[in-house]
Amino acid sequence: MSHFLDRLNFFKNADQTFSDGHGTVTNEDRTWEDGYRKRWQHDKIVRSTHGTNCTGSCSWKIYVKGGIVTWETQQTDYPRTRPDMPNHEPRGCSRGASYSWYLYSANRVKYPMVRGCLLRAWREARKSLGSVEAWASIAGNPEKSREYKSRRGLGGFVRAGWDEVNEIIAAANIYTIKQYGPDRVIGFSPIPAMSMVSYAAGSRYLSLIGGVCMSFYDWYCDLPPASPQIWGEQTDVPESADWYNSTFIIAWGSNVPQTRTPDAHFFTEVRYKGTKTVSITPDYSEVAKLGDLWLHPKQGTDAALAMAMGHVILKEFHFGANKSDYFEDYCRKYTDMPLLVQLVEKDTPTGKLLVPDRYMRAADFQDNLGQSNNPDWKTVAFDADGRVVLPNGSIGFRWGAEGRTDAGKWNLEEKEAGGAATKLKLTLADGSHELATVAFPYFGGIVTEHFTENKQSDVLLRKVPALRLPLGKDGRQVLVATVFDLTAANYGVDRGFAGDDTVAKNFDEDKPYTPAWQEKITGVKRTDVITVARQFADNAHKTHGKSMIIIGAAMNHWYHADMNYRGVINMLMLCGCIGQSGGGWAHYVGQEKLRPQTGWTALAFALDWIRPPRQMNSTSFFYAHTDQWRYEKLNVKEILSPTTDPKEFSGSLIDYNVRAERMGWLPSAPQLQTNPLRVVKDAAEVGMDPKDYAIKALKDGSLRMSCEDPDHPSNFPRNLFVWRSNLLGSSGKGHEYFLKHLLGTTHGVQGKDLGGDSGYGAKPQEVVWHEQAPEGKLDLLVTLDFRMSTTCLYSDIVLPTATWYEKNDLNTSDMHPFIHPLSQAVDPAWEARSDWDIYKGFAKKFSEICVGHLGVEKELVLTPLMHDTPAELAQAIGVKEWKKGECDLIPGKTAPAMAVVERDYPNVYKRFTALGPLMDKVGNGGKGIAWNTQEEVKGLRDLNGIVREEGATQGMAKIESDIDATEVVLMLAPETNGHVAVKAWQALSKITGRDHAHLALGKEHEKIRFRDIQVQPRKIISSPTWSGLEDEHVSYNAGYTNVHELIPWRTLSGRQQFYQDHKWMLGFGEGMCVYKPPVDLKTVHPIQGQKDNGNAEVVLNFITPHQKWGIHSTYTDNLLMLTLSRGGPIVWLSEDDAKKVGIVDNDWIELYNVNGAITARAVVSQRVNPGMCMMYHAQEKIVNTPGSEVTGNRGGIHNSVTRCVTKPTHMIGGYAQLSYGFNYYGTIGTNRDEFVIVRKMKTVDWLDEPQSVAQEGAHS
Amino acid sequence: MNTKLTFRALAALLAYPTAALCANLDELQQAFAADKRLKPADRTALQGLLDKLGTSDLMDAEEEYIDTFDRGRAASLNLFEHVHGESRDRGQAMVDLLAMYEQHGLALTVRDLPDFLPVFLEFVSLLEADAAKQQLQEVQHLVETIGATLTRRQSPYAAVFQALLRLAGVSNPEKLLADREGAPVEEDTTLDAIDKAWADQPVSFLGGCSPQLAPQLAPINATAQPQPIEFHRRTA
Repeated sequence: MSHFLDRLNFFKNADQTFSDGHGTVTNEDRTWEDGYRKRWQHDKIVRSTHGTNCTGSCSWKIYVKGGIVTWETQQTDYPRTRPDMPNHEPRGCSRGASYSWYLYSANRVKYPMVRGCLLRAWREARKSLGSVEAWASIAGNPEKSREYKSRRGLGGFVRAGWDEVNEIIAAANIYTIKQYGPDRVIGFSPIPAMSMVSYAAGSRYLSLIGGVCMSFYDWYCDLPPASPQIWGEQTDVPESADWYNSTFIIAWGSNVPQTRTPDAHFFTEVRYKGTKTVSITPDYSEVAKLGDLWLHPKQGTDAALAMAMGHVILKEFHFGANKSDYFEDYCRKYTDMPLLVQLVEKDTPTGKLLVPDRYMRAADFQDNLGQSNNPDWKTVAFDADGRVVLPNGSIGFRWGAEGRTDAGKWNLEEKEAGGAATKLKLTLADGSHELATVAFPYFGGIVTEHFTENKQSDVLLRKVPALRLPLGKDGRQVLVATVFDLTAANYGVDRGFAGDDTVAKNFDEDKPYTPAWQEKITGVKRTDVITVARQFADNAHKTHGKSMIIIGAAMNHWYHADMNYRGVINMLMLCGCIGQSGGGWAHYVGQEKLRPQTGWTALAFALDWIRPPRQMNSTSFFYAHTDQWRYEKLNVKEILSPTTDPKEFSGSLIDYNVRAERMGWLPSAPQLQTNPLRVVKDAAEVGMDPKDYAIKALKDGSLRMSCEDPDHPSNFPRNLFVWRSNLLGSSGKGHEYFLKHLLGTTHGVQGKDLGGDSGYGAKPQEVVWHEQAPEGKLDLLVTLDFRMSTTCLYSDIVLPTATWYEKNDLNTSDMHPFIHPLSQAVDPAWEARSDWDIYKGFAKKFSEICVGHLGVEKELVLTPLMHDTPAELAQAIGVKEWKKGECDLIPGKTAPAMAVVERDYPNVYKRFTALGPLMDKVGNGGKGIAWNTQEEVKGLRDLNGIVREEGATQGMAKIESDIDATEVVLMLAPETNGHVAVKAWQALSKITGRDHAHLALGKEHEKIRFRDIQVQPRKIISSPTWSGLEDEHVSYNAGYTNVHELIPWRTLSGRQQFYQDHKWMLGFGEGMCVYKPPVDLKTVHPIQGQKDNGNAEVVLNFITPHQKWGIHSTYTDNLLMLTLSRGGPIVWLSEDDAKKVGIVDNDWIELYNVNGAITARAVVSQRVNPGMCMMYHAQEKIVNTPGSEVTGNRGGIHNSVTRCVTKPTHMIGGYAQLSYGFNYYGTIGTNRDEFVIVRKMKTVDWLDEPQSVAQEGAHS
Repeated sequence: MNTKLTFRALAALLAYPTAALCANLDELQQAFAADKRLKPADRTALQGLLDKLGTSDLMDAEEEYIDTFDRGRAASLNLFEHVHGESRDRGQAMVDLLAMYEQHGLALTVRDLPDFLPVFLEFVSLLEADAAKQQLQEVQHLVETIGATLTRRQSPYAAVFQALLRLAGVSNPEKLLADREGAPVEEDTTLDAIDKAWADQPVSFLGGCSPQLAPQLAPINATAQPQPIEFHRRTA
């Protein structure tokens, strides 16, 4: 009704007023107001958040009406900060506000689905066979399995009931465990912090059955290996509020307003306080406009810029008139600057040269300098009098037997191990020194096609003050220098030493690493470099460290990411900014901080039942199992240091990975070619202890590690679970190789492997080469998701999960100190279930049908030499391989640790749903600190209730529901249970010999429960798991407790390390930070000019930043967001490049190389520098993506043109901070050195004719 | 003649195929035969779908159903997908629809959304003939949209939409669907066309005032006449 007749046309009502005319009585029809009223009416508001890999982690109000989610708005009830500091609100952005769309979107996965041909085969087989036998008859039959594998990605799903899919999955797992081994069951799920219980559901199931949890942080290339290298910590960063405490901020490759939207306000607000801001990005990004100054170096050359800034800082603030006492003092106390490094003469391609070698250790001296515990893991220095002293705090003091004499000396007090106070000497240049001519590798002269080199000598001979030090042992003498003097020489600082010709006299001289030198490489004006460096340092000097660098993935996705990062971190260390409020290294890439970590690991990896769990670094795993190594064209010789004898470093990249796995440096999955259940049985048959048997068999070759033959069917990963992730649509570097080798389906790989005469050099040495590469290694791919992602399309089974408004969970971020919940606002729609319930369902079915196939079984688990455990002290000096007979095979020392574990397969479900006995018996802990947790276990029994049913878990605390699971995390973690925090600090005090408990005493009786955080986000309690404090006086800042509580960094020296002395680090020229140009991946020339479509082509660097119109890196199919841009995949390129090849804005273009092809629309913009193009990360190929002219298939995702390339230095293990830890250290999936051919498309084929619609996974 | 059964039969055809459905196709056929509103052409088309369901393997039918309706939005059977799309008005619209069912004394028993077309058709089947027709006309443009997509894809399911349009009083639904099929499918990428494609269009199903059809349906959308926003009194 229009209400036309309700309206009076000729009269008005006589006014009846009240309240002195402020109100009027009317009798008009007001039903039109209902439209507005209803808009805001609701039955309830529920607090939840978005469990995506977004650092925002914002709390939201979810409005529910009639059992339907109607909309969401930002929460506005965060706890206040403190006076003189802005509050955290408003938090939340348009991406979060559009989320409720997903709940009822056509793209939602509504029912469990199985590929029709697989389900048909299954039902057929089940008519006559039991479940496990039925799966065996399908997976074990090459024809049957090829049928459904080759259909992956091509539709053909049908619905199935939960019971049926659970049975298929459990049967597949049981068959795989029995036939090949539990470590052939793999699970990939990223970023537990975004929904930790959902993550834990899968990892708990996998850990109970012996499956493998895959890492993500390294694979995503968000993990900066420089952080473990320098600090022994994965990533620890200031919360965003700490930006407000800074007085000089550089945003370097971090597009704060675009990718850190809810926190960007701190950045803009602090400018009103007078803080200077500088942005450094190659493109005119959004953050560029927030900078007082914008520097735009050529992409990939940031290390050169950082080195030049470091040069200025060193020269002006560590020497000369402006020398800063604060900087000097900081470097002496908190960095390895005063430590001694031996200089040795080595054979190099340019003859014999003196090069910096390893740190001097106590063991080098007579009587080990009085140390009986770990003397070869204790670093030394000179004190002010020139006496050799052994300062406290190196890693040798951290580990050792109970009651040892050097206990309680793992601290950064200015004391020597004997207890006397000491002041360490930074430089040896005091007259008594000799000037050594030391060789430093120089990589900036490497000629590459697309980056400008600065030709200098490959080896820079520079003068370093040194001393000949008698060791008091066999009359030996060594030449030593301090890290400080080596650093100054490396940076090319002119100290007036006679004959020091390769250092520049002033900033305008083009010698490494001056501001003038970098101009050629980066294109940044030298004056800008000098200005920024000077102001940065001057500010830090005056404020004692309040200079900050916010840094993002842009810098980390390069092959030589370490150099970019170390260059930047060196600046911060040189200026005393790390660990100071308002200063430091603010690296934000993904929601990697799982604050209640130690409470969560117990639940997630079933540490309450079985230790150790199986964990794997994904980069090495996928490199091997998607056969990307077969196409490797980066020769190790190309990346070796010119000061290294190439004979010492032979083989290809995968050879290094194999060596690392054999030595226990990196984990393996699968681990052994023989089923680990079988290994234990074989040992029993010959009456041997399984470990002894394995040692013997590995040595005689009758037992082999899987890494030596990844293409052998016994070593295939067989079952893969993917949940909370879009592995194939987003993070899968080398996407097309995944499709070809792992899945065995239609793919777009264009290049050839190293077989035949590829012309790309030798095949690997350590790995068996099969002429025919396997295709379709995986028997079963199961994906849990709420939306039909690219990964779902390629899966055999797709399961509908609850969305973020339909389940209970926990969520934290590194950007703010709050923990808040995901809450179930409505029941999961259609047949969806929470991840917790889904995995519980698998566990139940598994327990039922394993009977008769698997009972209580023993198996052998291999674990790498883990960081933060005593195993990180493996080979102190040199690298010895048991395989080559250079040393004995000692598990946990020269090889992976070995443990025999017992798995009770029929009780998997019971174990899944109860808190196991190991928390009571062994306790809990993390990062090398352990504590008793019996009281918390009792607390959980009281809180969650106990299992009453008779059986294996009777009397234990229940973990039945997702809320029960959250309570386990909250109860066990120091961050959410004050009592545990105090215990944890006390445990740390024993190791450092200093009292830290005062940091948590005030909050001892605070216990955060799930219902508490549903009421309001809660700030976590300070815990030794992290290096910052939650305090009334400081914002969270990483390294704060290292500097202010004198807790050592978890490195070899216990200090922040400018220097890396491992043999492989030195071999690849990364003992100290240098500039290295991007590597040549050789993916363009083999295909260039062969796929002509009549349009001109241009070769561009392929950059993949984070975007604005998708929800972080995962969700780019939200039409509401896509509508704000071009509605589908886009690629940005510069006006110059576009003009060259006749591309205009919005044209359809194609990008391709030997790895594959992408189709997208062109965004031609002045924003972009010539020579590069940008494709926002993780755009789905399921939305508006036409067919590729190169491959004939639908255009790919951004990773279709990439292939992961590993770096040997990331494989180092068993060496203090360079030891493996899950998502801590390891190979990373770099992808920015990639180049693509770009051209306009001739024909845009949507491939949406009837037949294609049925065949292709896309809907446009 | 029990015209209600026709709606039930059409609802059953649009629901996920089951063994029960395939076993009772005769009943559907009888219902169609008995309904004088349907024309022979409609029955022939529907018979094609019935035959297909009757002769093909159930799992093939299931695959086809998912490929047809569960993939993408163009042929989604959730009506509001085509009215509100990703707009936040969608939640309120579903609340209103549920309320309407409740006013008729009906409660939803399945875990599906109220705007699922088979649900709506079952509701319609419970109404008197005139009221049923009126309700059907409310969603007529959506039925056209989905039907046209299916016709273009040569899906046998298009028959159901042809029949629905007939029941809604359209005199020549085959032509209506075929004409839509003739709408230009290749993309017009001029800025004007893009603007037009993304422009909000008011529609009136249940008072929803709303936006986008899927972009590839833009030409259809662009020719639709703007309709005045209507407010409906909801209280009894």
